[in-house]
Amino acid sequence: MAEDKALTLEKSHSFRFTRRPMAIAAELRPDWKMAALLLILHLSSRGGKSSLRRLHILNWALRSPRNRSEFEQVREHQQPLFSFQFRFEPALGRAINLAVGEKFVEWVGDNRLQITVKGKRWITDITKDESVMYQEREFLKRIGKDVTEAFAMEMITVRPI
Amino acid sequence: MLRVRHLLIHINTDKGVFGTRQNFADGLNVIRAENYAGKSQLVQSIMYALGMEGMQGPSHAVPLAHALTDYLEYKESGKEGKAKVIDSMVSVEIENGKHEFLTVQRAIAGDRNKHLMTVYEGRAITKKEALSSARDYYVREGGAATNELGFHRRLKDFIGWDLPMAPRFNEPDCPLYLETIFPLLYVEQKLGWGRLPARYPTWLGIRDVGRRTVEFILGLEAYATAIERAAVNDEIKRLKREWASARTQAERSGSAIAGIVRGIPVEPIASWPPEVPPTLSVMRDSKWVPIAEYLNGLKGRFTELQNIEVPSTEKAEPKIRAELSKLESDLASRERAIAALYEKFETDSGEAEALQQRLDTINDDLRKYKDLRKVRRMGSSDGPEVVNGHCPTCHQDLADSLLDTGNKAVPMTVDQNVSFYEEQIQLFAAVHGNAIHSVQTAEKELRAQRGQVAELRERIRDIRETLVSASSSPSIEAISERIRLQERIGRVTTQQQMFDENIAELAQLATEWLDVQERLKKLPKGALSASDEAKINLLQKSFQQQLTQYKMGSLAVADVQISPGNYEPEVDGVNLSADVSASDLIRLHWAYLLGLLEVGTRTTGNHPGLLIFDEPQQQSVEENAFREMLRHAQGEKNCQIIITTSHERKTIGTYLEKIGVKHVAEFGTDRIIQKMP
Repeated sequence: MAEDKALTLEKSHSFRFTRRPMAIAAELRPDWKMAALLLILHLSSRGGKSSLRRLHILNWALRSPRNRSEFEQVREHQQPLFSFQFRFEPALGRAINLAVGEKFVEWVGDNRLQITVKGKRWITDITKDESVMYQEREFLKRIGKDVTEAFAMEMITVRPI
Repeated sequence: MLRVRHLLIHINTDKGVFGTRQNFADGLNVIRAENYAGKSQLVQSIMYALGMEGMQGPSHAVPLAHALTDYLEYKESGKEGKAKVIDSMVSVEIENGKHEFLTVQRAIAGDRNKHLMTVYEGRAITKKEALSSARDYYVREGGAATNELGFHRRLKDFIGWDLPMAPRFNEPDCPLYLETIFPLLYVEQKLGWGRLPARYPTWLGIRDVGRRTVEFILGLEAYATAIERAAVNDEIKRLKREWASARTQAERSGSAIAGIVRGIPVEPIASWPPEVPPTLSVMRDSKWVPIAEYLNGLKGRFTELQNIEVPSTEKAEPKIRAELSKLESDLASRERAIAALYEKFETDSGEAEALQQRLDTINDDLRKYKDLRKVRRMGSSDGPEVVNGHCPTCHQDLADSLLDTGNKAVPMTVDQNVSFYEEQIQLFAAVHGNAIHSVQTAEKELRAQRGQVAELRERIRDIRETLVSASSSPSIEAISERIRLQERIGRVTTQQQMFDENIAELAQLATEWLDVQERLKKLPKGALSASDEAKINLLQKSFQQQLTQYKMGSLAVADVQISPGNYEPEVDGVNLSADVSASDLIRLHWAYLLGLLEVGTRTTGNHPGLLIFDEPQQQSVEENAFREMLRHAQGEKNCQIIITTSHERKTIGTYLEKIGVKHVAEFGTDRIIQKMP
């Protein structure tokens, strides 16, 4: 009896840790990032293909209202090139790998990533609802396909001030 | 209440006069005749006499058969003949709840204008009453429902109806036209049974016509409630707007004199003044004092000064020198206070801005999550595998995240993340609100302090000027203090008056707010008031009880409910018109219209107690069900039900007699329209 009691006491004093799920930004959800990637390829890349560095620049430009407006000011030459400071987002790299796995995109010659027919089908499917990713799509349509590889190259080049 | 008492159809032909006369009593009236005998023409001509053909469509053609309009076939002493109609007309005597009678006469064929009805204020056919009171009214033209000479206006007054206004699709509101109500009182044979619960006219363009008419027939408060609710909401919006504007103006009076307004609630309140009454205070010697006290101080000082002569510089010097040093130290301490306040203001603004940025970011992320949720809910055959938790290549488990955490940290689900953000937004919005408030307070205080500093500087300048001026001249300081005081008194008085006016307006708004709150309280919680719900329940009870009686087969009776939304029969997930057998649709139809009659004829309903079924035994409903319906109709009180049928010539008479129906017109194999003596 006494032993039983001791046991229950011990039990009631023991600690338990529960792992709480973690909140993460929507940008870090695989399907969000993949959709953003596909939209960049679909709406803002000639022939649906782009180099990795250009994707990184547009990915960063697309990320938030602030980034979008900064990028557009640079595009319209209202601000010098260096005022848009972009970062290489590791999540984009993972999203690209996943998207290759999902067969939404494929690597083609010259180290370019190209959207596949399946990728186009999915992106058309989810944007049937006009409201889905509206701001992102409007931005990409606005900048159009004129952000060239050369422009991307220039942006990435470090120059002495 | 409305009863049809007598019908007369009169046809002049080249072979003499034809026609028919029918009496109708209270309770159940059954007209039995063979097919083609003219039963439908009989009841249809009652509707035509009342100018109701608009309920069947916008056409202006006479909705009656050729026997009444062109030619009629007849039998005379065993021989068949054909007579050409020269002119024809229909007359009905109707009675209302006050036992008043009206006789209406309308031309069917002939030269007379079909839109005109001659109305006699009495029984002109059976009693030859009121023959001299004949007056022409019109139907089927603009104003028939509203003008003095419009027949439908006369008819609704006669029935004792007060018609509600109904909203239309493209045009301004109109009264609920009689043509929209009568489909619940008269079911025409050919098309009437095809649409449950009634074949409402759509060409009149009335919104929610079914709902509006049933609301009217049952005397429901729902529509009035909906209108009242909209009005109350508008009023609430208006009061909030005016409250905010009066509040801003009151605060403006404060800032105009570097004062501060406290205690005006942000949202309207119902009891005025609030527990801590609103005040306008002005700073005096680093303390906030109420404006009245402040003004009295100014005035006192001004009178004091007026009573003493303006001293010469020489005389004033020792006093003002002492004052100068006091003022200078005062100025220094105030400037320190301002610096401290400014620092606080800067910090608070910075914090508010940072919080705003944080809120913007969360809001943007929340929007993304909502989009993502839509995408995931929609699903897509081409959708990514990874969303289901598998790697698209190796099919191993994969977290729903692009973070490189391996499997250590589990991300929230999208839904969890959405509610997490929503909570965060609530929290940050509250903190942000506090920060903004604190910024605004600091701003007001800064303004007040700066006003005081400006005043101090002015006085110091005056004193200095006085000290350097000629010793015999009057003291500049003393003169300008008088001028400053006078000007300040004027400004403060004006702002005080404006402040008081705004407070009076707020008090007025508070009483209006109280009124609107009381109106809001009186509104039922849902769309239906308690008495409305009681009526709907009664209707449902009668409806279901009849369905049991008529042995409905395709559905369980208990599943057929009266919708609280549009008051029509509904079954969860079933389209009644499509999924129910044709004969059951007829049963539903009988039960619904008889139920409406039963509930609508009670005290607060508007059902006139008249119901006409033309050939209700449609779609081969079993004889037994039909008989049950007749029995149920016979049991209804305070009403007049007219039913025509061509069934069971041999047996129905006995059955009707057995259940106590006294008013049966049996035509055998005869036609209803006969040669008139």
